[in-house]
Amino acid sequence: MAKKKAAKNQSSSWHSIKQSSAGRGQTKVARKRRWAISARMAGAVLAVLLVLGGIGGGLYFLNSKPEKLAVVGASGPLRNIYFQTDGVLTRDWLVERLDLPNDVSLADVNIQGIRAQLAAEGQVASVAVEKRFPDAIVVNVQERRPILKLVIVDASGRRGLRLVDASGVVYQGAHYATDQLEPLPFLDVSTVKRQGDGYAPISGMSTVHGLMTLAQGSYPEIYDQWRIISVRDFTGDQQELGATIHVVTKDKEELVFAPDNFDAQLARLRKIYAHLEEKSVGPVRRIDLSFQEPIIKLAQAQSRSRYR
Amino acid sequence: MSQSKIVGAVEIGTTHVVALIGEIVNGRSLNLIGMAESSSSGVKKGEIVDFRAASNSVHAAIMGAEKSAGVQVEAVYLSQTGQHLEGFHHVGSVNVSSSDNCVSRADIQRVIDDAKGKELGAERVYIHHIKHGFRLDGKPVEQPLGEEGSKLEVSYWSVHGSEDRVRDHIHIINGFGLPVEDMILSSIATASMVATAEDKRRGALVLDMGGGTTDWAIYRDGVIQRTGVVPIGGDHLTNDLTLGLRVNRKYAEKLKKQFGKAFVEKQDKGENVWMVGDQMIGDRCLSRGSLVQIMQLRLEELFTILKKQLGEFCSEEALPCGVVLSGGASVLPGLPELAGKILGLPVRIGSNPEWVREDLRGPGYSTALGLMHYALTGQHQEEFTAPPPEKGLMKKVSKLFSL
Repeated sequence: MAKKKAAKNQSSSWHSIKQSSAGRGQTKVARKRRWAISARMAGAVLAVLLVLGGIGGGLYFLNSKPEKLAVVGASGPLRNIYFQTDGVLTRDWLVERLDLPNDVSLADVNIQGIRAQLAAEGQVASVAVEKRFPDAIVVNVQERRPILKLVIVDASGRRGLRLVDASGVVYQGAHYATDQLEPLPFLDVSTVKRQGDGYAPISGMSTVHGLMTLAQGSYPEIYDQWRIISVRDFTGDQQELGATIHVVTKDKEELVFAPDNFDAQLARLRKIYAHLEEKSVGPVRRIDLSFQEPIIKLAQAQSRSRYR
Repeated sequence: MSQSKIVGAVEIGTTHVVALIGEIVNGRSLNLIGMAESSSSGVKKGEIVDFRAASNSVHAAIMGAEKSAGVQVEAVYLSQTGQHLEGFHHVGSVNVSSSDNCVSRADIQRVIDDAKGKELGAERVYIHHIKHGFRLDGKPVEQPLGEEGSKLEVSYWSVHGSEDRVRDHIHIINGFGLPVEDMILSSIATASMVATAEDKRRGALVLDMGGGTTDWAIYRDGVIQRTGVVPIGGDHLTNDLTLGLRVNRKYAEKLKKQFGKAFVEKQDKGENVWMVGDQMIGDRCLSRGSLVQIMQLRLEELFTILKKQLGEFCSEEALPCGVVLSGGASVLPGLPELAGKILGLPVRIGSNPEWVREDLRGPGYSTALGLMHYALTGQHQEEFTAPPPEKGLMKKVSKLFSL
């Protein structure tokens, strides 16, 4: 070869010029290329090590723990149903509602179907269902909070108790304790429309809920007397002329509220009660707070008076 | 199982850097798989004057070629040019040592060492030793081993260059993380591509007119006989136009390419050309006669110097196939006529062989293709001679180049 021959004249051939890989002429491009080559080599070495490690680890595992080796399927029979709720419903209620076969496998559980079934329950505001492999499902429910009770009389004259939440949804409650429902006022409404198997939401309930929350929190001595809240004159439109919310107390007093500015009305009512008590005027039949100047109707006098 | 080697061919020119990448399969066939070109900087008259700038240009070209090929080069075949290159013809001579006057292997080795062993000046290194053949008692012999005779001679055309210049070229390639596998003169690489088999056998001069230099090589009897470099190239024409016409370099280059010719004709004297061409503010009207005159003077100087360098070879007897022009500057109209007039030889424009794929047939790629050709043929040859005549190998190469 030429090189070998040239090597004999090393003192004067260009082959005698020392070649070095890290020459003085390194440019950005050259450095980038070197890095790329180094990274590729490192990657290749790493890949080989990983493959070898994997093979070695696999062999070790096979040889050292043969008795524990078992093939676990992606899913088995459904063994556990976990239930989480922010309300009063129980796991038993869930199991009864789902009515799943005893030996159903987790793979066959239709979580979309379960979700739809539970979402159709009036008391359930939202629901999430998940499969937890290998053998469980988890149902997470958020329940509606009742604010009012509603007595429904069906076409056959049979009476039934329903609950109403702050968004106006009417539902048949389950698993509530007596002391949870007892303090709730009844709702008086002119009509409740049917919707599917249930009832259409009642409008104006968010306004009523506002009134109740404020009264319960800031005027508890007043709220404790409330037994019936009537929305016969309130369709949900606060601007509607003549729209009023009526409250009937334990003492059969009728309180009339305009559907806005509740704090001022309740404050005025507190003053009226104090004044009436101070004057000992006797039982009151009606206090209308919906006007700028409240109108008080006394039971004995059968006459109207204006409170300033 | 086939073995392949990825090699690069790099030509560091004054105006551009060309990098080709080829895959040599089993040392016998070549696939050209990548190519890139970058504008050159830091190179003047074929020599590196700004190492950093030249490195950037060369590395960009190699990187581009690697990207186009999708592989990394293992070694580089590098071209070499520049005024620092010189050559001399040297004859080594020994007396046959055996008592029966039969030439032995030791005699052949001694005569080769004698021919190649001439001491060079300080800071000079050999690039090539091109063997011209053995003579035994004054008679040419193809293979002297075992022949009877008393005096064995061998002659070489040896090319040497400045060690610093050569080192710069090598270290630019080394800077990219690649070794230089071999170094070949640009003129030899180009000649191997553009000269036909008949040119090489009967005798022809190949002129590679580049941007900064004009490299030449003489083929005869199928072997390179002489090589040389004239430090004048296309760039000098541009410079002359810049000074002579007082235009900037950009417009000088444009005028050269658009209106340039090798010699003035009658109609050129009255013709005017526009510098920019849009005839708006800043544009200038120039005499085409002056433009061509400037170029002609420089080209006459080039061919006159060349004629002087060629000496006794500049005759139709020595070069019956005449002159083959190549390189980027060779496309100038009228150049063959002017060269023929001054050199007194038939001149034609050379082209790369037809088996080279079309986009690489331009004169600017001859050197890089020649390097690649050498990368393949050099695997089988001890010293650089004409490509082997076997049709099979050439066919393989041509087939692969045409892919």
